[in-house]
Parts: sequence; C-alpha cells; structure tokens
Amino acid sequence: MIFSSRLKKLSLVSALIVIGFIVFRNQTIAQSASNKSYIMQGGEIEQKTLINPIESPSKPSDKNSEKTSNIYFGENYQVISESNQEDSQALSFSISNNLVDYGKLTPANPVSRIIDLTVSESPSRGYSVFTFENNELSDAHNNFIPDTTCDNGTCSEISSALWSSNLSFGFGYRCENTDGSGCTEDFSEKGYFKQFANESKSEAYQIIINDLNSRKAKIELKANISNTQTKSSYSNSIIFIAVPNL
Amino acid sequence: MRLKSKIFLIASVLIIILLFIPKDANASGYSLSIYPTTIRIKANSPAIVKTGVIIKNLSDNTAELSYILKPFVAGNNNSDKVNYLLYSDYTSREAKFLQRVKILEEDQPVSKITLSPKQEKNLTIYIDVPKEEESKDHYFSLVFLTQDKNNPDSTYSQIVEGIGINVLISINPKEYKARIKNFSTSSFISEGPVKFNVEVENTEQNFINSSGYILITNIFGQNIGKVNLGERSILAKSTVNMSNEKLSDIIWKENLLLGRYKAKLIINYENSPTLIKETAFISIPVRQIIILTIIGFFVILVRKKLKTS
Repeated sequence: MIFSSRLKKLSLVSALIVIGFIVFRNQTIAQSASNKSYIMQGGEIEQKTLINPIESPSKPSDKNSEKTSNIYFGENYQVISESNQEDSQALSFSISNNLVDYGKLTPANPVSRIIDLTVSESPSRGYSVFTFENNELSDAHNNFIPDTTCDNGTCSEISSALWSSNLSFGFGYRCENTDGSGCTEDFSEKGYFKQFANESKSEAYQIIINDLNSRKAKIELKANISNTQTKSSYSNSIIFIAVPNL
Repeated sequence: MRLKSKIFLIASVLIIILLFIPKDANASGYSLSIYPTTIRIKANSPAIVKTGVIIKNLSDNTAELSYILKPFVAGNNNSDKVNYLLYSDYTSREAKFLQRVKILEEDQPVSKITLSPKQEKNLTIYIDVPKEEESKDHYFSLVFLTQDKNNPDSTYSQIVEGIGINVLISINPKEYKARIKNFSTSSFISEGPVKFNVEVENTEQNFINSSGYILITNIFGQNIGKVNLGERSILAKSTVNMSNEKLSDIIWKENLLLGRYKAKLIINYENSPTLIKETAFISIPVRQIIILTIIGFFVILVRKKLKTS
C-alpha cells in the first residue's frame, strides 16, 4: 500500500518534470520584447553605405560579412541597389553548350541531345529560368519541323505529356533534375516533354526552373521527323534566361 | 619489316588527320555572373537616374553580348516570379519609357558588350525621367544575351544564354500602404515543426519592400521562438506569400511542444507603421502521452504481478 502511493507520487512528480521541461526549456531567444502597448525590436546592426551613383556597386566578397544595404541619392532620385541579405546577391548562370547539333535527321529515328544548365550563385529570394525558341526548326525555304504534340497530341508550350513513340514527330524538350528539385512539376514524370514557347507566334516565355538554391539541371532536346518531312538542314535558336525572383 | 613500317606510316597519318580535324562547334558553353540582381529606384520627375551593374564572363571564351529590356507584372497566384508581358501587350507608355533606358559603357550608350575570358565590366543603367513623366511604376528585366553564329551543315539549335536583373522604378511615388491579408497556422498540432502562412498585400500604386518576423510566445508570455521572413518586393496592387530566407515555406523548427502558443507577425515596409497580426495554436504531444501512458500501465501491471506472486 505504501509502495503504491509512493509509485503514484513518483509518477506525478515525473509527469510534472516532463511537462515543466517541455514548457520551460525554451530560452528567450528573440531579440525583442513586447507587451500589449509596445514592441522593442533589437534587430541586427544594419550598415548603410552611401556611394556615388556613377560608381558601380561593389559586390560583397565575404559571405559572412555584415549585412549591407547600398542606398544612395542622386538629384531627385534614390536607388536601393541591394537588400539586407546575409548572403551574396550575385546571380551566376552557365550553359554547357552554345550549339546543339542533331546531325542528319532520318524519319522515325528520334535524336536526343542533352545540355546542362547550372546556377552556381543565386540571391536568397531564388531565381527562375525562362526558355523559348525564336521559331520552329526551319530551313531557308520556310520548311519546318513542327513542335511536338507528344504521343497523345496534347502537349504544348504550357502543358507536358508523354513522348515515347517513334511515330510521334516534332521537336520538344524536357527538364531533368540532377541534384535537386528545380525543374517545374511538368517534368516530374519520366518521358514527359513540352514544346518550346515560340517567340515568332507571341507565345509567353515559360519557366522551366524555379528554385531558391543553386542547382544543376539537364535539358533534353528531342527531334523526330516523319517520312513526309522535306530533306533539309533545319535550325533555330533556343534561349534560356535566368532572372532573380522578386 | 616493310609491313611494320607501312603500319607505322598509316598510324602516323591517321593521328595527324585526327589532330587536325576541327573540333565540334558545340564544345564550349557560356558562364555569366551579374550583380546586383535587383535595383529599386524612387524618382521624382525630372531626373536622370544613373546606377551601376556588374557583368562578368566566368568562362574561358570571349562572350559577345547584346541586351533587351523585358517589362513584367506581378506573377499569378501570389508568386514571387516575374510575369513577362508579351510584345503585343506593351502599352505605348511602357514602350516610350523603355526607349529612355540606355546602357552606358564608359559613359557611352552601347548596344553590344564584349567580355574577354574572366573579364568583368561595370556598366551604367541610364534612365531619363522627363518632367512630364506620369506618376507610375515601371518594372522590367535588363537581360544580357549571348550571341554566336555557328552554321554547321546539319540540323541544329543555337543556344543563347540570358542573364538578367530586375529593375523596379516608382515615378513620383505618393503613398505606401500594405496589409496582412492572411496570417494563419493549424489551430491544433501534435508536434512541430510549425508551418505558418503569411500573405501581405500592397494596396497602393507603388511597389514596396517588406521584411518581418514571427515571435512565438508560450502560455506564460515568454518569447520562445523567432522566425525571420525573407525580404520581398511587392509590386503595386499585388499580394505575395512571404517565406523564410532560402526556404519556400515559413517554418518554426521546434518539435516538442505542449500547451497554447501565440504567434505574433510583425511586418515592416517602407518606413511605414509596422503591421502586426496574431494567431494562436495548441500543441499536445499525443504520441508521447500515449507512450507514457502505456509505460505507466505496464509498470503498474508488473508491480501488481510482483505483489501477487
């Protein structure tokens, strides 16, 4: 009987200790204090740098350097050239190839080529990579290889679809993640392709990568022609633009 | 012996031919870096705005660059992505404004820039804001594009790299006003981390720059957590979902929670009065309680069995 009551006491004390630990273990880590009437914001020391407007802003070289904000004033204007972010604000973008050669295309024999897109430095707000083509793959006589509509005829520059059949013709691309999840969800399923947005048809540029961190993606370009395609050499320009998010 | 010398001769000729065959035109790519990535300007007309941008060629090949100016509006669904306007959607006012934006190299307007391997150039963005310019915001990306001309005798795609910065300019800005459209979290959770939803709306005609944080207090009013929000530009008459720095969601990384907690959102923008909103949530670590209860029952059971034996 005595042992049982001791056990109950012990359980009660243990429960109180556990609850106390969960509730009180957190330290006051915020740099501010508040009540109903006021908020005291400690914040971090912000260094304001005044520079000559004609001078170019100097890029912070040390990633651990203090937060900086380049604000300067000209006659009737004010420029804030960068925000208070801890990390570097530069954007660095690389493409592995300046030309993709598909060789001599033969009917029902799809040709795929891979290029690498790498963002090695990005602002903390993240970035997007847009893509489009200047026109369809075309020759000097206005013959062209149409943009693919994939196996079921539904893919476009906006929506993706499976393209695996050798009897589905055209030109398209897919984005393949190599070290993360930067490619848009259109390409989450294997073998899904899209058309490039065609600038000559005033189609809107499409985002293929949107990410917060620096990453690498592989872009697969695929061309397949039918028996009726005029034998010729076709070409176009494909543009990839990396820009920071807002 | 004669056979050996023939083989040697053929091999030498093959090696020489292989050495002199031109390399594939697609062997090299591009690598560019740009800084700063966002420029925010507030100007009162008339003004001649000049601000710098640094572009660097990180590759081992010379880069020939041109540039374009692409106007944009806020992205759909409160997104932080820019939404480029089609040429057909440009208004005459936008087209006129963009005509007054120039890129200067050593004070001379340029349409092309040449960068040697690893070379960096300081360029100036020059914007002429005349006296009669209307009060309005303009948003555009300055995009540098590589230029190459390879013409192989086959089917090919020329790859063009573009790298851009965003320029936000308010002409004769008047008033800044924003509101917290949404601040919420799950009202009941059994364990952390805790995810918050924050939407901030810019209700006026000029872009704003916003930042902020969330303070979490426990039932005793103690501050026990702080979540910093990433700095964001909110375009005129648009709403954005705020996020953590380098994270797409707002997460308070605390796992073991018990009781009622209050979360206070503090948003600062453009030296305007701070926006504050509160929400609350209750956390009961159901799993831990179940485990403790089972252990308790087990101890009592063992104790009773020992007693009876």
